Amino acid sequence: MSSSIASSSSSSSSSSKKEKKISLKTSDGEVFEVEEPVAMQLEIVRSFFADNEDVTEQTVMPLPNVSTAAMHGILEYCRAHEEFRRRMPEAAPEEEVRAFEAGYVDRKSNEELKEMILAANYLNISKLLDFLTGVAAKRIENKSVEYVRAFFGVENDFTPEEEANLRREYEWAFEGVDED
Amino acid sequence: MKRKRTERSAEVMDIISGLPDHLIHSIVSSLPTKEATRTSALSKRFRSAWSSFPLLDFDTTYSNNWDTIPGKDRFFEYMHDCIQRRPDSGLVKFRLNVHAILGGQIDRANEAIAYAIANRVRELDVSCLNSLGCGYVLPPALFRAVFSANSLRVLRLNGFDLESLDHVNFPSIEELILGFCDMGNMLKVSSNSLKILDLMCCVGLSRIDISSSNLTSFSYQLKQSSGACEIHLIGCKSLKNLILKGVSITSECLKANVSKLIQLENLKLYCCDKLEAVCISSPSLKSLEISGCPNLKSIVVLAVNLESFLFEAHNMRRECDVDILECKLLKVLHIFNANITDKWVERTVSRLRFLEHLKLFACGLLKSIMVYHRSLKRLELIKCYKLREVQFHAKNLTVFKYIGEVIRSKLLIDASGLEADLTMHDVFRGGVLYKELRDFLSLFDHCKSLSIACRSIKYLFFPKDMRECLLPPLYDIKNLNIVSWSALPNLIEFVDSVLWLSPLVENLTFGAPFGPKKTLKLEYVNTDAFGSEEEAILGEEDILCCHKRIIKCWRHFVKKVSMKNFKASEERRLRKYFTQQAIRLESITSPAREDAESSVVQSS
Repeated sequence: MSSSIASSSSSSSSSSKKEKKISLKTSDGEVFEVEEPVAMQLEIVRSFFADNEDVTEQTVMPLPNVSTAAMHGILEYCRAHEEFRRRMPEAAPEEEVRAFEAGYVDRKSNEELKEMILAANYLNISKLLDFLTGVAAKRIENKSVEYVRAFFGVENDFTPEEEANLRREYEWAFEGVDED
Repeated sequence: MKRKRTERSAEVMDIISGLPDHLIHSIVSSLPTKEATRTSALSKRFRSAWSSFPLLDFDTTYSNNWDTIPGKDRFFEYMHDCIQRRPDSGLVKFRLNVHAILGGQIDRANEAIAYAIANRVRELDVSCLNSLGCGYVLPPALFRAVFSANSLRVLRLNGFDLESLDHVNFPSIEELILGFCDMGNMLKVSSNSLKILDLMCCVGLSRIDISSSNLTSFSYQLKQSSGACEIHLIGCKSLKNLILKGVSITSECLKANVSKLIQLENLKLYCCDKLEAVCISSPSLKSLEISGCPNLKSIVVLAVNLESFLFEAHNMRRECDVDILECKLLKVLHIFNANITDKWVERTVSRLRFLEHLKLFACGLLKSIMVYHRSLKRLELIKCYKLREVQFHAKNLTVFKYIGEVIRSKLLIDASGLEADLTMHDVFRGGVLYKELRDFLSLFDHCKSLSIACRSIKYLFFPKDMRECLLPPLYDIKNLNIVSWSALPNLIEFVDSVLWLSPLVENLTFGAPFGPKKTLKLEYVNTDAFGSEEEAILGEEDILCCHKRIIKCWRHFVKKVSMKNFKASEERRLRKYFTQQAIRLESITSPAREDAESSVVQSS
């Protein structure tokens, strides 16, 4: 069944110049019309369309765990990568990709970054997820425990004894690190 | 609006604190082990995520307290505790790095390896080097468990005794990287899963048989040759990369192997002492490097698709014939330290019509080369000290690098739009030869940009009397870069001398090879107005300054100067210098500094 959808969509896109769009609805009710090859980078969308027989072009797929803001960020990345893929079928122009990615994350605050990690996880875009978690790691590298707590938005919920035990257990990892 | 924002971020916080383990693992896995370990102290949530972290990395070098013999006991104690506490969940990677262990420590290490295998580890990396030279021996049952583990894809072992590897079949390992392992004198590998096999410093092998249809890379590297070695790569029809270093393989054996490797693309041969007459015939080969093989007498390469060839002779005095004329698609040719002749260069280069990059390094027989070439883009002549005459007629040449004794060579590079990079050695060995230096530099007057490096910057300070009687060599250069290893003795004198060399330079940069560059940007008045018929516009100052010279100096034309990356004191001196010297100076600025200053003003 899935193959019939795939083949019909590819034939329609080649016969009519108009690109096929897929409608995605975010948690706050906004509907995004997304070009098919871009939307298919979202594994959750791809499998939704591949596994459901009764979906049509008019179907609006709800994405209750993704905010409009995160969706904008996600689509910017996916569209850029679709563009890279289209221009270079064999090898992506690596420097250009890296330059894009660097500029892309520079503009994102820690909050936006975390929100996008969750969205990328939910939408199941492994490439974006790997990239974003790597960026998150860079942002907490060489930072104090307090800073990292603030980054993740977690509270220290250990009792003083528990924390002391933990630091003793992993003593080597705290060597040469200033107490916060 | 503002309220909505904070609500949303509070929501995000909520989700983040409930971040699934795999996302925490994914972020933490990009951190160095020590920092990753510290995330366990963030909160209970992170503590529990850490306990199932799928990468285990134990390394005695991570703490100074683990260096000593009792320290190593503590290290193994720690590792033991970690493993005991860890729930049995899948492992992606297990790494252990220790030196010289004994007694109970070995049991603990074995226990850890067994734990990793039992938890379906994908990548196992164990290094147990021992200064005594005897390898780490795995108990037979553990040895079998490691090599037959279904989950294992990458196996790296350092300092192991693997004599019994010969008869083992490994069904799922894709990358096998062995360093300083004792393998006996025969190695027979036949595995369909294996893609990469890397043997580093595994001495004593006299015969290697590999039949692995999916193997793409094989590398066998030794610090020095350890006796003759036969290699048979049978049925390795996917092999693309072959690297041999310090391996005593014969020319015949190499030839037989290469002819059977139908997908071979990259071949590197370093310091192989038994190679004498090498004949490499491979239609698939794209890149070939031969370096430091001491007994080579001849190299014949029959590889129509070869794109890159690098040859470094072991010894300049030893004669070695190199024939690459069949490699008609060659783009990159690098020759180091070889006794190639002028004729060889001329003949070879002219036959290689697609050559783009030619580098000749320390080829001491070369004296005079003349080449006509259409596609050559990059030419490097490095330390070929006997070169006296070089003529390259290459229209498409864009980059020229030269390192050598400059004065005595005659160079003609016939190419427009060239970026030239000159490093001059021993400029004045045997007398101060400013005239020759001037003539040499003037050969590069028409380059798009020129970079000059001197061991000692003082050679570029032309004495005043020389400036009076010589023509400036770089009248047409717009972009000039001067590299100096030593600090400038006197900035003003230096600038004054460079502006004599190159009186209409627009971008002048200088500094240490890797440091920040100081930049002077210069703008000039229209020099056409100073033609001989327009004497009228010359002022008194113009006539007083350099009235003896045919070409007027820079002082008459400079209109605007802009400085970048100078210290404040240097800027002051330059300001004074240009204000005093330049007749038509309109402005002298340092934009970056002014920006910084004005922004300071704004913020305060």
